[in-house]
Amino acid sequence: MRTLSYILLSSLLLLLPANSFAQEKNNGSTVTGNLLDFQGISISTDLFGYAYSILEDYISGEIAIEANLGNKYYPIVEIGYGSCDFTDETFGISYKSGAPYYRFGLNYNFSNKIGEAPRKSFIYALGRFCFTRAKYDLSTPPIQDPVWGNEVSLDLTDVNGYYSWAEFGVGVNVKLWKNLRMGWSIRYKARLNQVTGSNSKMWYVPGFGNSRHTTFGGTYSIIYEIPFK
Amino acid sequence: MKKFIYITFAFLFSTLFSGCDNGGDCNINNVSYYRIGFYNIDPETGKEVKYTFPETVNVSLVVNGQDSTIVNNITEATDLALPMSYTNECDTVIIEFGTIPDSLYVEHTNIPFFISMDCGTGMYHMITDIKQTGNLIDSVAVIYPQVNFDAHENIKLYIAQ
Repeated sequence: MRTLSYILLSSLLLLLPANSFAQEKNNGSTVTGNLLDFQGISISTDLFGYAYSILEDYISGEIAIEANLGNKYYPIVEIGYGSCDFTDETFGISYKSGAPYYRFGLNYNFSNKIGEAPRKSFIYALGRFCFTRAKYDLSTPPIQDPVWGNEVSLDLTDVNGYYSWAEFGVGVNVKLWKNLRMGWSIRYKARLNQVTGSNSKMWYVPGFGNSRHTTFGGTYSIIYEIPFK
Repeated sequence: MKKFIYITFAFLFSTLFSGCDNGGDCNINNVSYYRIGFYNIDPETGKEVKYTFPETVNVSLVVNGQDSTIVNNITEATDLALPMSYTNECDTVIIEFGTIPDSLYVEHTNIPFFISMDCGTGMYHMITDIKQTGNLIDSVAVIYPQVNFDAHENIKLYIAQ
């Protein structure tokens, strides 16, 4: 059921920019051939993180600031906050955490050549370095010693965790109206490093999801281009 | 340029079938065992060699003051895997080599560890010291003090010649 929900939600998000592609035209403005020709800044927010709370037991929100260099390269900083308050039905383990996360990287516009006028829509590749420092609370029901018969439980508060990962993927950016754009991206996430506590390791990682070596993620963003020229 | 796009999409498509592990290190019963290997010294070379005990071996743990047999009459034993107490700081292990009994006193810490929501909580240990009675055992060495789900040999037990 959860897989079906993912597919349906993803399909809806993918359909939205399709019509805009059909009407694609250049907007007529031109830029110089300089790679570092600064074209402006845009800010955006990811809506997928909010929608994710329908499917999972955590929620996140983020904003991003992106610079446009020659309509080709887009250095970007994404800052978000993710939180989780979850109790597992199988083992009765409770986990609570909330912390900011940070992503730094670059979008590479496939559709434009340097010096070419910006398009209404374009496809891009993305790369990110990401990290978070999060504190979490964890409590487990008693576990029983199978030989001696004694019980031990685990109640931890404010455990410090650190997690870093890399993201690679592709995305689409489409002009909606005037300076308003929208976009989605699909991301492959790979863990780089994690700091574990003496009695636990992070289970929910803000910005990443459930802790594991690799996972997938996505964004669906509303973007506002700040007029510059 | 198109080639680059194709390569990128091919990479992302291939990751659909390669990644996404569940991130867990699930282990049956979440019980970690420490492993003891039997050794002796080859008189000709002076080097340690793995020792296969020719007679039967029985192993008991002292559980709440009572002997509890955990390994019964195994033959050609070269090593043992034993559980540790979740709450005691010293476990008493009685090993009978044929008719000769020896006792090990294994001191350890206990580390309850949250593994993941999928795997639950397990118990790890750290061996801090070990003593033995020296009837058939010549000496003992802790070579890997961390006791977890990894299959490392933790203790080398040298049998007297």
